[in-house]
Amino acid sequence: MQIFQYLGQAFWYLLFIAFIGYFSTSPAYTFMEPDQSLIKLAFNHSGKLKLACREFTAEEQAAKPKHMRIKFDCPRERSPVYVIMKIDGKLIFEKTIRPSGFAKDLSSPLYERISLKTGQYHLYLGMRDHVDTEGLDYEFDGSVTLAASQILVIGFDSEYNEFTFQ
Amino acid sequence: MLKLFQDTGRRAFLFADRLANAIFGSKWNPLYHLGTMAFFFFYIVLASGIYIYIFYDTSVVDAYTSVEYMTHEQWYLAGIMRSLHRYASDAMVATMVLHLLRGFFFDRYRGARWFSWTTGIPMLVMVFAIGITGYWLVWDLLGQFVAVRTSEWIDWLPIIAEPTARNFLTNTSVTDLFFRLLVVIHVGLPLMLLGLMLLHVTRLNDAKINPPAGLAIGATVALVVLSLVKPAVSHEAADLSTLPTQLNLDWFYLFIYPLMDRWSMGTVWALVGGGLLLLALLPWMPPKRREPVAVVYPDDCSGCNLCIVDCPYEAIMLEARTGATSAGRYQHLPIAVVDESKCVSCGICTGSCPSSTPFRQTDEIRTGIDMPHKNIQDLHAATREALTKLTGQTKVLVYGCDHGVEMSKVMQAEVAMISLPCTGALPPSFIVYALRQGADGVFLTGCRSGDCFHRLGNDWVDQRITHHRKPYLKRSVPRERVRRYWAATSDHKQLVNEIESFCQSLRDMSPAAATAEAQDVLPGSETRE
Repeated sequence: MQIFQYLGQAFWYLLFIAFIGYFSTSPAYTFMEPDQSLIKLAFNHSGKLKLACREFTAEEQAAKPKHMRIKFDCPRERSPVYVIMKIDGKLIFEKTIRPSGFAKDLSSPLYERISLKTGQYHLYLGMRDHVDTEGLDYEFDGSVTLAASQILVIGFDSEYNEFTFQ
Repeated sequence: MLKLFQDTGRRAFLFADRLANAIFGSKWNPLYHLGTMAFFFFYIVLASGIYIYIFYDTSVVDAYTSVEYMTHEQWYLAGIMRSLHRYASDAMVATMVLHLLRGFFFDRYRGARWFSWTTGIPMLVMVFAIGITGYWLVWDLLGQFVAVRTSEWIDWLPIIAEPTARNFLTNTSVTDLFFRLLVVIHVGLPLMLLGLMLLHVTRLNDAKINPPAGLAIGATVALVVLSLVKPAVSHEAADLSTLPTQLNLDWFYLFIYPLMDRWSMGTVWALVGGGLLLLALLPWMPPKRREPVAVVYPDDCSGCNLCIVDCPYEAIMLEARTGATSAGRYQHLPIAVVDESKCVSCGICTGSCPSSTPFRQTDEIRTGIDMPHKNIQDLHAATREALTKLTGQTKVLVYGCDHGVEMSKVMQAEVAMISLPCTGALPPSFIVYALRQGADGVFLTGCRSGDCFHRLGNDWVDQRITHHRKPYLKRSVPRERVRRYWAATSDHKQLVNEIESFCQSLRDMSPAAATAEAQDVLPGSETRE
């Protein structure tokens, strides 16, 4: 009788390790097909200040306590950033990103994933970072080639005011 | 619907239990030790984690190579430790989930048990957080996938201004500092988890946090064998310019990630948040109907401490007498006090009280601690009534419990049945009383051994009868006239057979021996040995 118990226990443990061993790696999960690639459009751009500085009027200055009198009023709120992306003429992405922060005085972060098949595409990117601008402030219009399983990171260099590709 | 789900789950567990009992015996049945096995797997994870941390390099560049060194160069020790670390973590999740399901199916999560249930939920979250950060640390393609998708998932919440996923845009974005922060989280969270694990069992008397040694050895050997047969290996090194394609997911921890690819991040948050909220509220959906809690009778409570050590839920304390309780014959002794929020009305305290005896000179039978809805007087009356019904060739009185086999399913001509909230609520003196009053034998049944609904009831009964726990069953009681058989709700056929076998064994006894034995069973001080 005891021999059957030992065999039963051995079988139980075998099932246990088979269960743990199998599901610890299997079944394999296909996250992306091998002919897929990914564009990540990601940057953290600060829009221009929404309003320009203006000088306080004499009346306004007089209404303030002496130690709080400053010459200019410079609102900190920044413009939202508008971004548009087209691939082969087709609108892929269009978004207006409001500035972060309670006073809306921080940058406008963007992180988007666009999955595409491997190949060459015509890419159009546009961005506006001031509310007063009509049209777009920055543009990219050109072709990109995506290799198999490639991740293309598109950013924006605020120093040179141009889109970057990595 | 919920009841049907619970019934189905309970039946499945009972079937598996019976199988495991046949293989391991009830003491080693792994399904009765799911919680302690989860604890044990955690110890393995901890020990193996400490070892592999010695060789692990916490920089982005060398993390992967250090793991590869362990896996391939030092496969005989660090490699096995790495595999044990992974497989024990997986086994921990598996046993935790089964432990949770068992508690739910057997309705052991409501009423006073809400505390253990609720403290288990943050543990679940923490275990997953530890496991997921562990996969990041390998920094292979799977780690990359998990890191990026987790960040994107967190970024969905409108509480973080700057997307954390930007930390994983390019290979140069990931810094050593960020990686070390991950290490701190992966090492720090288990320490918090350990605290929660202890909190999880605080309200339980005689809480087991270690499985039986045999089971622990068996599980360890099994995991070592698995580590040798199928060592844990990494994917290729992480490369943030490359898209991971096919991944060997650890489905115990990472099952949620495929959902992120198929559904929106918001839907996955709703699923996780809603699921956790549902789990947290389950003990009150609906709330358990509360029976009246145990009441202490100051005139009969001598502060002997037996009910306190027997209460499975630590619902009774010993305190100094004050006010109205400070009179009477026990006025200089402490008194038992019931914490109503913890009492589950199992009646085990009544079974442990030495004053719970039917051999009283007074008309009214009273005891030190009793259940208002099923008191000792009622048990005495039920016993007397049951004994009068016994008219067959052999007379057997069966004491069962409300959570074991339904008493009506085992009705036989020669037996009378009494059901208690828990068999542990039966004072041993009632066995003596039944035999003195004409029963040929007393049969005790309840939940399966090791799986008592009230945790410890059948253990206490076993120990009282075998003279290992007070109040003892008098030594002079012939043990062949007392039989115990612990059976689950689905075991009524086995129970009927066992009762029949008991009746037969009583019939086989010579009448002379039976009379002599019966005369040895003396009334009086049997519970005070």
